[in-house]
Amino acid sequence: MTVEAGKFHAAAALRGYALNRMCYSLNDARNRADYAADPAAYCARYGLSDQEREAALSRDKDKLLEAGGNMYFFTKLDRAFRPAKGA
Amino acid sequence: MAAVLGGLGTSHVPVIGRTINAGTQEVAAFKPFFDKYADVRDWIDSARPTVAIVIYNDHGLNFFLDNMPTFAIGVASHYCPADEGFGEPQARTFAGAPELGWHIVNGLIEDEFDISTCRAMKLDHACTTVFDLIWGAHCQPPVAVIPVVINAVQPPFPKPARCLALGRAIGKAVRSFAGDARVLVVGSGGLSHELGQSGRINEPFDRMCMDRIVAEPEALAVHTNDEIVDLAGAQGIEVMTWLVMRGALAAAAPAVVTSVYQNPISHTGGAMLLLGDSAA
Repeated sequence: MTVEAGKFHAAAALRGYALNRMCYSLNDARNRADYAADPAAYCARYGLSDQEREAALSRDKDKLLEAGGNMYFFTKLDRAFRPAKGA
Repeated sequence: MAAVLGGLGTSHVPVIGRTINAGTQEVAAFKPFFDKYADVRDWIDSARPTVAIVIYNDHGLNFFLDNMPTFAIGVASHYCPADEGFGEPQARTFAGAPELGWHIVNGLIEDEFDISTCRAMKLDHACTTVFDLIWGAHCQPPVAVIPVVINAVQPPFPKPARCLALGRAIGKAVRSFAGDARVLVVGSGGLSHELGQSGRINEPFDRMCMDRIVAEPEALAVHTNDEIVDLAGAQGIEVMTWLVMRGALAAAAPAVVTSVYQNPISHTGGAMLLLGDSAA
């Protein structure tokens, strides 16, 4: 069964912890700069599985959801490549 | 004695805050949304709230998946905003209301809502945008803040009926507080949208929510969360914050002070609804 954003999925709930943890780290501007400079190296620092790394590098929503990514965290991936907007 | 003066439901899409910060409300595509906030300011001027209880969902800032409460309340003496990945927000400090906060915690536990208590919290745009809508960019609002966070991040989420009941328990607790507090309850979120995706706005659903939440909120609370996601997108689930807000009002049919529906604001069905609690 496909993982749907906003709905519980038993298998997805077991996956994606390292991926989400890496995305959570991107709340920090220095980490965003490090990630944008070398995404693959940054993924390695957080111990992502192959599936998680491929999903992160693709920034493809369906792949991220399948890898257990949570949209509140993986939307921060795109922000690493944008200029700061403030809040 | 403490009183709930009214409830405000509002969208909190980041573009709202960015537009206020840039001072470009007059030329924004969703200018009517900003214009209607003049009515909110007029009401605030006469109602004179001293505390805002803001119900919202965290956006991957304060809580991570290592420890994700279903319901959490702030009982800190002060709060600051923090970087959600958009860039460092302008520094400011919001006063908390720890005495009323702890009173609410005790009332909720008494009513069998086993809420998590937070003595420190970072506030994200879902909490602060409403202050900027009312009092302007980078404001220091003239109200103390009690943040209440509902899990809309990691499913399973609390049920809509449970959120309505939580609001009722919050309202009851406020009204039993012996200290002085004039409370505005804010539900911050929605309406229909899904992060990073267009095409999930459901205007009939949004308008139905804005209509029914006034005098028949139970009609909204019968939906399951999965049904709301199907109808209104993954972040349409944020309507649960409005249900908590509505539950906190004592009136059976609160007065609609003002409202606006703006389709779209960014990729979201933008909405604002201010209800006066006639029992106040």
